[in-house]
Amino acid sequence: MTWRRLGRWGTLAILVLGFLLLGSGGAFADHWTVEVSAPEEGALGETIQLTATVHDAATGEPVEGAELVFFSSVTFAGVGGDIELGEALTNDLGVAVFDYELRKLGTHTITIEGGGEPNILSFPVTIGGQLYRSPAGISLIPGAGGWVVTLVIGAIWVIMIIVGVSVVRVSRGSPPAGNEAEAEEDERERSAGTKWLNTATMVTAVMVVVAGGIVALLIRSPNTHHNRDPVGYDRSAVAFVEGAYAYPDFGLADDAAAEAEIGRGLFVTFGCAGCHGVDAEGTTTAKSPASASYDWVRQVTRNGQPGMPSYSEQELNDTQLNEIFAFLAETRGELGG
Amino acid sequence: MESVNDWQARLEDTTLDPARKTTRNYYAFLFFLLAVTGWGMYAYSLQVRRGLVVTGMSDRISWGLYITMFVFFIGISHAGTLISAILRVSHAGWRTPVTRMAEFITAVALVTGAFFVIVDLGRPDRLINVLVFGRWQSPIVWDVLAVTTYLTASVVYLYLPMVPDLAFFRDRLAPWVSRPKHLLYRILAINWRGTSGQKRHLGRAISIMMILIIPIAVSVHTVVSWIFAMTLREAWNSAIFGFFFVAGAIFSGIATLIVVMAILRRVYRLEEYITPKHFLYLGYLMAAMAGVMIYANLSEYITAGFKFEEGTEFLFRQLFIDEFAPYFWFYFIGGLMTPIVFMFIRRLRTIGGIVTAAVFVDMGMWVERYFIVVTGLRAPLLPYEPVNYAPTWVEWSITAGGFAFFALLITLFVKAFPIMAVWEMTEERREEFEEMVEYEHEFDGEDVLASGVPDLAPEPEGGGPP
Repeated sequence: MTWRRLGRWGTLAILVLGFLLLGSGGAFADHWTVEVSAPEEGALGETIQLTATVHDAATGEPVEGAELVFFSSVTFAGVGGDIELGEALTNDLGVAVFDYELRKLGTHTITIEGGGEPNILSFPVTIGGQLYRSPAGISLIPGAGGWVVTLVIGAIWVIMIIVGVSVVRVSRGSPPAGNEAEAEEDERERSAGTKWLNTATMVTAVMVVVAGGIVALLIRSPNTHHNRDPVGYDRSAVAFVEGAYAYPDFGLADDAAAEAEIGRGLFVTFGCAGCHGVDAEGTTTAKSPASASYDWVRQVTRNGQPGMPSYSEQELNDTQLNEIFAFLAETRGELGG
Repeated sequence: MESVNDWQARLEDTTLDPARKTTRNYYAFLFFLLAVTGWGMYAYSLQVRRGLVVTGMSDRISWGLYITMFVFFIGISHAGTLISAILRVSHAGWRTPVTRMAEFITAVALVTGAFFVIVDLGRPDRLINVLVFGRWQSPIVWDVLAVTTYLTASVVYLYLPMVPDLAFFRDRLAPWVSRPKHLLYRILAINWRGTSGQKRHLGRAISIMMILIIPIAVSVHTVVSWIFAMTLREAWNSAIFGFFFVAGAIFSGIATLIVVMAILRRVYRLEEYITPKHFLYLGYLMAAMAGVMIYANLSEYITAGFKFEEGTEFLFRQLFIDEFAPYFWFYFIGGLMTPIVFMFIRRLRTIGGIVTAAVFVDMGMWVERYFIVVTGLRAPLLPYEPVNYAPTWVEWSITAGGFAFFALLITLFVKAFPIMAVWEMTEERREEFEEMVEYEHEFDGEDVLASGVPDLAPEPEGGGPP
């Protein structure tokens, strides 16, 4: 009887305590003032820092260890909501820093909660540099590498060859004892060329050859990943079409035709041809730039536009730009645009 | 009561019939398939000459119908493994009349599927580079290894249980076939006389293969899925992908088996052997796999949708609401719901109903392979507007050619090789008889086996069906 009574009061006490704690959490936060800041704008692929500075509202002292939560808002099929990006704690100066990776173009709106009213940050994101480079992946069994794969696949093939051998034994099976007629027929079958030239031996032979090839492939296979070592892993163009295009360093040409010829090479080496086609004829990915004006080509090349990267002076100098334009001008005639 | 020998003679006649008699319709159908395959080959020759520019694929959506066909047919090939190997291992007695069909669907589908990888290459001659410069860290090389191993294993697994039947063809077909063809049977029958030593060796070989082929088959479709899942793509970034692909493969494999079974049953009058029971059992298996597929889909999309990371939004919008919504909902309702609904409603649970459901499943699974491939590539990784992919007539022609090629191989196979495992079926019938005889002996001692019991079959190790 007393136990039941105690249990009832205990439950009530826990509930009351819970409510008090919940209420007090909010009460603490109301004493803060929070200032948030972000860079004016960001480039796609960059990681920017969102900072929030927390002060005690009453004393003006910085608050250490305050927790701030960062959200980004999304709508899908009429349903909107905030996605939690992560949390950050303030340091002894009351400053919390959150690293935010910019993966989408357009205006980003970030809501920061903690300490009273939520704070909202908004900034535009434009096109930037390389978006992503994969770091090296895991290795399943350190040190063992391809040998494990080789052994597993080798074992499978050894079993298959064992199967082949037992089929060969079927084909060479002895004639039934005591049956002269069948034994004779058997002998005829064998001498008719089916003794060795039969599926069993051929299948087994093929299996041995394929197994040998697979094991050779695995053993020959290099043991490393190139992107474990990003040195020498550059993004310059590697495709040259049958060597017919001039390199950019061939020297300056005097006449327009030679200039256009160099431009044709640059069009490939700088990757333009990747989207615009080798003859600047345009593809499903990008239109033909052949009929564009000089100013427009220059403007788009220098500043980029959605879908097209920008090329600065350091990457592509004015001479080269002119040469590319000479090539476009020449193509314009060819394409009749 | 009919003796075992009469029963066996009738079975043998039924099995020999396709090889003995060729109707005009057969030639007409063959001609049609050859024409479609030929048209596909013409389209392919165009692609080889002009390059992949004749396709709708671009640098952004670089996989299309060809890879869809590759994944689809590799999936189909799981029919043989499941029906034949798993049911053989578990001694499911009803499987025997359909195992041969399942096994040749496997081999034929694998050949067709592997062919489409080569079609997808702009420079097929560079295939040799995979062998010369391949490295085991590359998922492409995993695929080459797994598919090569599976192709070899499944051809061997098709061949082994066929040896006694090939010997039977060799012995019985002499007056009907030409000399080269008879020589072919002689070579393929590897001197099979049904001696006890031969039976022991063959039984052992079959036992090893039926177990070995199961892990190989699972590995094949797992690494096919990893071709996708090992890339940095939102749509494919899923831990469940290997399992999902294997389940889908078995699912579409069963559906294809049902369709092929129904056609052969009708054309070659196999009603006595392939009974409504087979359709019913396979239909239940198919419905069960549909349940697994629905579960896998929910698991995949709910876990991604609950968190709703940045890339998921684009993916879900194109898949559920926008461009690919018709495909997705056809797959989900037509491909996954239909078999379950059909198996639940008694009036639809007929051979016709089950075959209809199987056709829906095959179409649904093909569409699923298509949108998995294309939606994954369509979600942009770089800040550009998404491009669309529309297959050109060349791609459609080669795809049609691929289907025709698949049907052509089956049609030719059926003409040349035994479509049912005569010895396995006879073996089983004999055991049933023996059981019955034992039972009858207890009462009146009458000997129904007076006509003698055929002795043709090797014993698989581990005992036959009880």
